[in-house]
Amino acid sequence: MDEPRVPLEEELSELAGLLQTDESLETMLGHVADIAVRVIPACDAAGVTLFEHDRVTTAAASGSLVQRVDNHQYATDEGPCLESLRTGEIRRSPVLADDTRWPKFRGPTLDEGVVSCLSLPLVIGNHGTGGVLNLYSQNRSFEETDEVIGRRFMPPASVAVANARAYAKAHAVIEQLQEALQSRDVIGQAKGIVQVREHCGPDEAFERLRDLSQHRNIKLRDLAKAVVESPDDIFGG
Amino acid sequence: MTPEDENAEGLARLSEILVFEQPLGGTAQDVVDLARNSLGQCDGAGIQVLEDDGVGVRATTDSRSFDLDTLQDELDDGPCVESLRDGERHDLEPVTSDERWPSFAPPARRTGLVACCALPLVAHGELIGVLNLYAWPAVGFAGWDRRHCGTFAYRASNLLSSARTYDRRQVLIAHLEARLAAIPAREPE
Repeated sequence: MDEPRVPLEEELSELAGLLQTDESLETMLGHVADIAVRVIPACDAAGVTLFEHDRVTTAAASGSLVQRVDNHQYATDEGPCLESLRTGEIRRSPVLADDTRWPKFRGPTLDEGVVSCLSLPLVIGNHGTGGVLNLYSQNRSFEETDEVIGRRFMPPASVAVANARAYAKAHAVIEQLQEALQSRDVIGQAKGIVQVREHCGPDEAFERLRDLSQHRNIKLRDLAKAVVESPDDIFGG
Repeated sequence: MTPEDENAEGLARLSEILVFEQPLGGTAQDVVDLARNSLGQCDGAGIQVLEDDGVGVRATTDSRSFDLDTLQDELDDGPCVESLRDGERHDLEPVTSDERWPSFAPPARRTGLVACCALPLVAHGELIGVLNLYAWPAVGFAGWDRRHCGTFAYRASNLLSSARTYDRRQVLIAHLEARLAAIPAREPE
């Protein structure tokens, strides 16, 4: 029986620590694919397919072969990845040349030199199947031993991918919020605050800000910024 | 279940914790509970996670562990405090015969503590906290699998580092949302 090429436990530990502030979702998922190549004996190439907004995309891959083979699945709407995604079950094709389950996918994939494939669904409890880890081999068959290791790899890989996606979403929200904040003119914001606090119109609010600016001998923009950040300090609580 | 099976089960469950389903404190609580339930001879445990200005999140399995964590903090003495200072692992066993922590050992012994161990939590080369393991039975930690405890701490470090990273993002989101809510959406007409 083949042992993992590197200790599986060590690699699984790495999965738990994937979230780092300076890495993109693609990079984080790329780590998952790279680890799969390292720990699953028959695996030459691996990729993570995500299912979002009714679309499947290859979010990370250990090499260009993965993207090409994945594209054959997406184009023909069949193959182990899509079936694994739909069923939430593992799909293994030990000898692709003899496999009759996906005839449209098989031809172009064999042309790429892929002889065997293994698709592991990424399932998180109530969250369903959010993606698939696709493993390809150009040299040897994925045997049952590979599948056994894959089964051990699946839960932490699923968690790692789910964590990475959640982190990426949080990052996107932050960018949107920062953009929204920057886009609001600081003087306009200050005028709005003055209008509410002083029960006056926009022109009066602007006059009030300008008077305060002159009285305190600070630039209007700086005063507006101070009003936005801490109005009580300017106008009293 | 054999001790080896328990070890494997503990590590497996550790790697299945989702960091986005709860705040960092919840993840720390899950980790510390898993430590007590899966590490042989461990009767209680505590975790302290560092933030920029010192210990941020704390979690313990029970009141005795809470008291012992607190005691070390208050006395500024003990294996936990030492681990947070030097990033090394420190064992105190048996509690009575140790003179390295003269302020902590006597009162700890009076609570019935037989042995304790502080495991530094280090992720990506950074000390992010400490995991304290406590034993009250007379046997102490005799015969425990120290290597496995180290593995558990290593895995917990990576998990908590991810959870802390995610948590910081959530704090920033809340801060930005509050700022956005405090200002009008558009300039008044």
